Amino acid sequence: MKKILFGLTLAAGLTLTSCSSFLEEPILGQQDMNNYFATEDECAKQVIGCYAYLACDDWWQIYKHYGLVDMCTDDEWMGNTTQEPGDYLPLSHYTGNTIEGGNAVQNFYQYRWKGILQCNIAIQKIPELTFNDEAYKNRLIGEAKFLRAFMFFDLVRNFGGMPIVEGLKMPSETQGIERASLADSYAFIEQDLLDAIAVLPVRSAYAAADMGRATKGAAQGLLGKVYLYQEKYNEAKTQLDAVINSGEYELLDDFAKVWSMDYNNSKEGLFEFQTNEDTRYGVGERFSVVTGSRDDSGWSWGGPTSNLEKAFKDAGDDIRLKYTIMHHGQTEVPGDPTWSEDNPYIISPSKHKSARANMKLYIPVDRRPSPYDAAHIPLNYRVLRYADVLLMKAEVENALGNDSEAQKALNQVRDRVNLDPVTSTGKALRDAIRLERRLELALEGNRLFDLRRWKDDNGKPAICNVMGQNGSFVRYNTVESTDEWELSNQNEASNKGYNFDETRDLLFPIPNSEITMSNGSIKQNPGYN
Amino acid sequence: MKRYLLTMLIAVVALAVKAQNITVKGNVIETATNEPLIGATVKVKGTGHGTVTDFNGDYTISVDKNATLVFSSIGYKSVEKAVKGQTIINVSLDDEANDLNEVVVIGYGVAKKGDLTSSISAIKGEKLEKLSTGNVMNALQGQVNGVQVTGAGGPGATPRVIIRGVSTINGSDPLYVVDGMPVGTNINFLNQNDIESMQVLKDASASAIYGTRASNGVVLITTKKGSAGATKFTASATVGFQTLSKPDIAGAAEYEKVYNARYTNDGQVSPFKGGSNTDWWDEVIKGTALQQNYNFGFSGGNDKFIYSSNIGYYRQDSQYKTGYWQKLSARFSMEYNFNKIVKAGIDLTPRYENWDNTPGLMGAVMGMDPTTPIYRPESEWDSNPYSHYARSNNNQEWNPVASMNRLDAGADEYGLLATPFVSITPIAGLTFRSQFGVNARFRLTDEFTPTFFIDNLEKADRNQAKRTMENWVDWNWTNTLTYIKTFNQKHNLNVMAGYTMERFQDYYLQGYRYDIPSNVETLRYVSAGTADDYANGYNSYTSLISYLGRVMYNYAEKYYLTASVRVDGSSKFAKGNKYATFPAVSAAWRITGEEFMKNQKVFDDLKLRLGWGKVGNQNIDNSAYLSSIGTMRYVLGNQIVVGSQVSGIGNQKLKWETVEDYNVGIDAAFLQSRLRVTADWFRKTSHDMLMKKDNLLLLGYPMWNGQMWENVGEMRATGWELGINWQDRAGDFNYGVGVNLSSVKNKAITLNGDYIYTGGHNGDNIIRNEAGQPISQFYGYTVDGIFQNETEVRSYTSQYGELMQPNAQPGDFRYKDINHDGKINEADKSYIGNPFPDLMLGVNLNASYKNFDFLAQFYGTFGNDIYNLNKDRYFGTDGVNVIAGTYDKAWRADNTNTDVPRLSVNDANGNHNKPSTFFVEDGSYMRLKLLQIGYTLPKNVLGPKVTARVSLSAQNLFTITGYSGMDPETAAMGSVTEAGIDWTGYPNPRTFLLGVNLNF
Repeated sequence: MKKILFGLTLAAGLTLTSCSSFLEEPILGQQDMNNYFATEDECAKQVIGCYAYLACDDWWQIYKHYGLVDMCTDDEWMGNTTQEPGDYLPLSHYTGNTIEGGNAVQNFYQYRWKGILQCNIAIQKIPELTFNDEAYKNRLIGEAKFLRAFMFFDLVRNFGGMPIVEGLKMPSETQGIERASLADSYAFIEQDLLDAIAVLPVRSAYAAADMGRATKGAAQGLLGKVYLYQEKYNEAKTQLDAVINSGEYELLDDFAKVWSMDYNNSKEGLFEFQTNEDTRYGVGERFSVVTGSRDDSGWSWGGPTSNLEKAFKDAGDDIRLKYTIMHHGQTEVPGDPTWSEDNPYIISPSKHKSARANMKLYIPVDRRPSPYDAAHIPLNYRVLRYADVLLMKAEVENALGNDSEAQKALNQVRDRVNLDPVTSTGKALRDAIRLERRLELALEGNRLFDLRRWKDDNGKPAICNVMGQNGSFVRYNTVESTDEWELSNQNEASNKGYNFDETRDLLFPIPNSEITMSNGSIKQNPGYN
Repeated sequence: MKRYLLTMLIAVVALAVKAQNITVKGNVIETATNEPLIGATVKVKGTGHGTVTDFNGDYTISVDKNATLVFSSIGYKSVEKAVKGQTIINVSLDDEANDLNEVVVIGYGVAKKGDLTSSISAIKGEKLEKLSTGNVMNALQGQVNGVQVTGAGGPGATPRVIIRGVSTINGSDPLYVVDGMPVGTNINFLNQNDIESMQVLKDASASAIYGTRASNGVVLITTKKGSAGATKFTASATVGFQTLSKPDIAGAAEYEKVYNARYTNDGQVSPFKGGSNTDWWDEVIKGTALQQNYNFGFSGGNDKFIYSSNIGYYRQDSQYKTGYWQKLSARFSMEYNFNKIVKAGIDLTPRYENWDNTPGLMGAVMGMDPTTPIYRPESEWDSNPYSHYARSNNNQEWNPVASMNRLDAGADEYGLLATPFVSITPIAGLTFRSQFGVNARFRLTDEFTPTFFIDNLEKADRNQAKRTMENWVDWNWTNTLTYIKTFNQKHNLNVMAGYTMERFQDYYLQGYRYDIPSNVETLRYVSAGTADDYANGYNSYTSLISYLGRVMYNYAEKYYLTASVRVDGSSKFAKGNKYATFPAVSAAWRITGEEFMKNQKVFDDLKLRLGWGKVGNQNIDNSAYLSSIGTMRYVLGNQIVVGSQVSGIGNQKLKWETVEDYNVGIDAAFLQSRLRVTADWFRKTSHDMLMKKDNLLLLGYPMWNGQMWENVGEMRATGWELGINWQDRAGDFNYGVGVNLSSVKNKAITLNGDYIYTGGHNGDNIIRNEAGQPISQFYGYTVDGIFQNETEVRSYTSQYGELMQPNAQPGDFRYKDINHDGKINEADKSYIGNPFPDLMLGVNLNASYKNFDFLAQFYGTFGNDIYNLNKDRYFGTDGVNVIAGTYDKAWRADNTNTDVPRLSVNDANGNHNKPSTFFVEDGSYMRLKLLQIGYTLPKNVLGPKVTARVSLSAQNLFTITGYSGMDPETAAMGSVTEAGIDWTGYPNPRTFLLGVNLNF
């Protein structure tokens, strides 16, 4: 009875307070976007959120794809021969299975667009607020534009021209949306980067607490790459020269430091995914575990090929070989006293296609956070570094006919690893630069895009002469190779690339769901059906 | 509820004048058996005065000599006898099955069954009790026409209930209302022995009074109430077991053959590693799982006070070697008449439920590599027993025995449903009733994940203890004013006006920590964790305000008209879209009431019904309209910095989904009412369907696959139902046959000019919805045989000589070039199957002879297709174990007469990836749902007061089907938008039960 009376009283009370307020139930514990972007701090936080989408909080959204693109080249196998390869197989072995191939890139595709939306919102909302410091406001917008360009470029170089989506769109606003042309897609990236360059500070102008933010140099370096991919050599030269002349960057003295966790954000780094070893949040790198030896807590995906090893050896490049590839039975692992004659490093040939592993991402045993297998390894992932800028500069100058300038840039990179200067010119110089890119930047996610864009003397993209039935890599593995490890372990087929089809495999397929969801207005890349 | 009506009737009739009393004696028997009826009520009509029959069916009552006596007993037709001075009145009561005078609950009121103008099915609790089950809706399958119940298998799993077919893309669960309190879409918590009756409001003219949540129909449940008379006791026990039929999965030898063939067929070396031969099914699945159900209750009362109480315990063990679900529930029901004006009562239903450790490992059990041993060699064991297990030799499945033994997760839930009410009848016919119902649930879930290491990819580096508290407290205040009056003995009027307020409150708290010092049982609590404390918590509220009104009028029980309206306001929608109105009108004509029918002999009853109504659907997330901001973290200057992201994109334009429904029905009785026929035709049109829809990834929405709530269009369901019941007896032999037939066809009318793809699998979608087409059809390629040789592959070209399937090899599917463009691509997909049945059939047989009774219930669906994913997963993909016989069935150069493609690791042709006709099978089935034989002990075996019945029953005894998967019934489960895709769940077990019922 008491309950009834209580109920009656309560309800009577509520009735009197009017129904409309009874029906207002704010969502508790969640910030409403409509009330957000009201302070400078909130705007700044959104930009931090955009950065967080660079790598997301684990290995499977972005890093996995970065690994996959190297597996699609002559530098890496899938590597792991103790498991079904799953997503890695259709693209790295060019099986032509469109749907599986689309699946393999689905997370990367999805998470890059998610990141782009966060940038879009920042770019849309921040200008609406009045800041005390206009330069700060412009910088935040510039950072968001840099990040949008970075992510969009990541899509374009994998998939070709992409639809251009600005701002937050409702589904009805994108009905019938089509892919922009490659040129228009690049123009969009260029504009974002030009806007960013205009407002971003140089690296040294940032406070220490801001280390890791997008800088003018990063934007210029990236724009140089974007131009280079389009063979806009003059425009590329301008940007690359600006980086080189800024005085903000130089090569580290020792190649060993390039991928050392002690040299995060070094003077060589233009842009890195920032990491931290806090175990509570996925703010570190886990890719090292993915690429690590199966016999050393790793998952053994992405084993370097003997073909790459041979390239180092043929070039007499011992230093970079040592810091790029580790191999089975290695008694000395630089930077890690754990391993010795008595306790050699194991990458067992039965479990690994090539019994080799990625040294650049190797974490010394006593430097591993606990637990190791989680996204909190404090190794910044280097996405753009000064050696890359120098090699792009060399490529640009060679293409423009300024071979001495090209040699100068190229030899700076060679000099660090005690290699003799290159003196050749013309096509020989071109090929030397290309080889140098392979050796210097091996396993760093550049090779596939380089092979796709470089034109060989027969007029074809370089990848067509590496892969395919007569490709150099296929021939090497099926005819020339004497590598015991790779020959004996056929759990991953040695004829990788045999099925490469130059009418199809210069781009990855777009996830099939995107084609169907758009009712066909988004067109699949050629050759995939 | 009968009592409720009686009370009203009492109030309607003015007090009898003082009169002369005489003593009347007599005996009440059951017509069918001539057995005395114990505890039958004998009342003086128009008064509260009455008595009950004793153990011999005898009664004595002192009454006015001109009074009329009303004899009634639950389950029997009431009989009225005028005393007219007689001192001995013997009465025989007929079973009241389908009686037109039966009182049914109609939502905010009651009506006589014969007066219904809408499509409402009523079923008695005692019929539902025949099938012992954790969720009473399982017992409803095949019993009520137009209600499709699909059993879900596992302990505590909720069956899928669809009333009159799918009418919207957004869910299919009906609204359950227990004693006037809407309790949501799941009644697992309810003890089936507590149910007095259940009413299913099938068409909108009936359910519109529940407006907002009625789009999928409403199920009204009335729990048992006491009745005046001596205290009666009931006790029952049901014990039995369940068993699963074991699927025919390959052993190590065939697995190896298939595994190797996949590689060698693609010119590769197989990395196969052999070893043991483990039967994972036997290691993880129990042969028999125990089921128990016990109940004890009593009820009674007098003129002032009635009470009823029951306590029940149900336990269902999991079919896995660990896990169970149990519930302990009690119910106390009391009503007190203060005086002729005021009555109050309360139903209290406290309960406790407990789940423990039931794993979901069907996929791992079926798919696990049979060449892997359970354990690693003992020499490799360390101190952690969870690490002793072996890693799969050849595939990615986690060791299911290890997973099962590691599992330490359980939940306790305490619940209370309380529905106190007061009803006031100030003047005859006018009743004000106010009920304040509370439905509270408190759930505590504990989960511990131990550290273990089996392999780099099968391990947990850190252990974790987690506790989650979820409290739901919903209240509902319902106020109704009802006026019932008969004018000039012909005009029967029943008017109701009401106002309700409801609030749904959800309180959530979760905490967890890592790095508990060890896996020992005593440390598996959050406080023992040493690192990384996490906590989450929020409150969430939803509210509803409703205004309701209804007028029911009939003229001489011949012409009926009912009109109702409900206005609902909901907090779930943004301003401007909060309110919606749901009107309904229905009419009926009792043709047999007409003069011109007086002389015909064919129909004992014939009634025509017409109905129209609108109902709503607000089944969306509370925050569907809100774009929200969440937290993201990044590192700058080597330090973690907190950032934000847009974490949800809301849809401000969301509005109510409404369903408009037309219904035409006919009720007829023939041959002295032994044959009863009910037929209905209906058409339901859903406008502004709500759906959480996948969107283009390029929109970048933070939600997975860009899902967002949208009003996506309009669809229509058209169907019919036919119920035929025959009940008769020949001497001591009573028998009955009931047949329920129903059919619904649906069609999407508009979908905002868009297709809606669902059923995502392997990067493609199995289901496409399109305007003008039935919803949720399978959409894929048509397999046009298998390429038998290279020549066939080479000659399958376009007119320009281009290969249509360049990646194909002999043994791969040839897909039809549906649009004849010389290419095989998206444009060659077409509709290849419909998951919804053409016909649903329930057949119920009952018979009794002397002390024996017999019951058989069949249920089946016909014409529905199932997309059998077993033919993907267990036919040689990803190194998963295969259905036995896969090797022999697969295409080989020496085995070309088959429809199963070659085994291939690359599957470049996409035989297993592309949705195609290969996977579509006819899902029709007919199942003996229940077979029961009962024996009632002869009188006086256990004493004169005791009746006892023993029964043996078998559930799901056999199934007739051509479907090749495990269970065509669970295969057809899944939400509306993913209907008919067989993901291999927990199949419906076969159950054998022994039951004992005692009444004394």
